[in-house]
Amino acid sequence: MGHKFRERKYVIEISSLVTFLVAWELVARFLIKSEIKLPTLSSTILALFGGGYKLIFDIGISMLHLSIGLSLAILIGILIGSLMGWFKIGSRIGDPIMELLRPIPPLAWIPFAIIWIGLNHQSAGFIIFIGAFFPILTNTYTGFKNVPPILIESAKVLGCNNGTKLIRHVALPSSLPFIVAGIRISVGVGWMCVVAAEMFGVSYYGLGTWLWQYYALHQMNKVMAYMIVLGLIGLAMDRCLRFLERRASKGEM
Amino acid sequence: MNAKLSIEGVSKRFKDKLVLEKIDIDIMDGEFVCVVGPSGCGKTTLLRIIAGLEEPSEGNILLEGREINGPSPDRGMIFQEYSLFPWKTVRKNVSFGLEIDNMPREEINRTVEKYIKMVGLSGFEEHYPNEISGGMKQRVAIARALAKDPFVFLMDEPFGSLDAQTRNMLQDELLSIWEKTQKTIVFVTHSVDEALYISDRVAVMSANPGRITKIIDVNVERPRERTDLKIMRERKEILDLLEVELKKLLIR
Ligand SMILES: Nc1ncnc2c1ncn2[C@@H]1O[C@H](COP(=O)(O)OP(=O)(O)OP(=O)(O)O)[C@@H](O)[C@H]1O
Ligand SMILES: [Mg+2]
Repeated sequence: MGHKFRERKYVIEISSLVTFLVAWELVARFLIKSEIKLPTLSSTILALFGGGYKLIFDIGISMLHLSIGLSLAILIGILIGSLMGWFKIGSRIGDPIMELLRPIPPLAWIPFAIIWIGLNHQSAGFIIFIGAFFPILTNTYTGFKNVPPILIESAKVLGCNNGTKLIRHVALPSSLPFIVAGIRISVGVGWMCVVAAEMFGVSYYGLGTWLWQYYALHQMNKVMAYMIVLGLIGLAMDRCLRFLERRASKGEM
Repeated sequence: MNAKLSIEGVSKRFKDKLVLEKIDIDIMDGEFVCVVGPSGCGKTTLLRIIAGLEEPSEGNILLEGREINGPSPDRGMIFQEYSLFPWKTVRKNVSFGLEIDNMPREEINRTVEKYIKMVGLSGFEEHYPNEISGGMKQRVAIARALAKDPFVFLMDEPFGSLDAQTRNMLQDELLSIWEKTQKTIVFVTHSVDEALYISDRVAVMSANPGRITKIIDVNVERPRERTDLKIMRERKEILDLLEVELKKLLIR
């Protein structure tokens, strides 16, 4: 019985997905009848695999933008978050500024990104950095603020007596589950920013760049194909980080 | 004979509240001293002051004649609550204090193995704290403190949250570790029976403000029986003292 149960586990999920895809194809083909309003599934699939290596370059460049933004966000977010969480004065200094900057939508920074940095990879990275920074900051801050005092005292009586060592050996590992959770949220937000950040021609390649290009050329099946790629990559990254998050909360990192 | 640990006129005030008043006691090298007293009388506070985690408002703590200065591994502490690093395995918890000191790897491994064996946890080295029982956690905490080879071992109701059987077993194990290592131990407990079974002297405290009302010698040779009639007289004396305290607390 258990065996049968396992076999049937995903039956509903898979039929649901298949029904959705078939319905898409039928609706697009026989109801909408317009490749611009709603491209069919089949022409989308053709667009997905018909472009040759270009898709790979587009994915690569978008990943480059994400990595620039994300690594900056991780570096600076953890640094400022830990200072604000560890030192009482740190949160009093940082809080007013962060509360002021946090509500500004990342995309509102695009004009200044272009003026300050120019039309290049770094400027796309900067927009993604703005989006990815705050979740990491907030989570690192929460983690550092909530280090159990008994663990700090235990470390002190074991000879771990200066601030740097306490941060490295106690506060950081104790906050790690929070930080990894923050990074997972940041990857999601950062990925959402990619499309908009690449909107203004910061690079020749890029999923966002070409999403807009194909739109301008009215090749909507390619637009749809790129949307699907964006979704699948987002999903894959989220799954990987969920896995890391589970490990971090178990202390296995 | 000189005292290993001298507590000289220690008082502690939190804001306006006087928690400890003029605590005086000398503890000899290798001695096992218990502190008993009603809840809230300042036992944890006293231990934290000895550990250097809290500053006394008045008075001094001398370790081998020198005034203490902040927390240090020469005074190992076992806390009332569980205090293991949850992200480290049993082995890594025990080696923590040694790695901080950059002790050579082989020496760390040897020391860690020795103390894990001493507290009877061989085979559990790779377990995480959330995978072992409460009694095992306290054993790891003991091994972790022992590995630093402290002069004085401070224990704050380490077995308080354990069931009676585990508690008895750990008392016996602690006694055998004490005999092996000749450590000086200050052990806080609620239980008069526990205090009389394990210690050389029992300091009885009263509350509001916390004071040592009496220090009782337990002149019973070891190994002791938990039901030893010779302990009964001391037991009655301490219980009477504590009863007076309890009544005072109830009247307030
Ligand atoms: N950091 C602090 N600030 C203010 N008051 C404190 C602080 N720490 C302890 N106290 C107070 O000091 C008194 C003694 O507390 P302590 O924890 O030392 O008692 P205890 O004898 O260990 O009690 P228990 O047996 O319940 O563990 C209590 O009234 C407590 O409220
Ligand atoms: Mg206490």
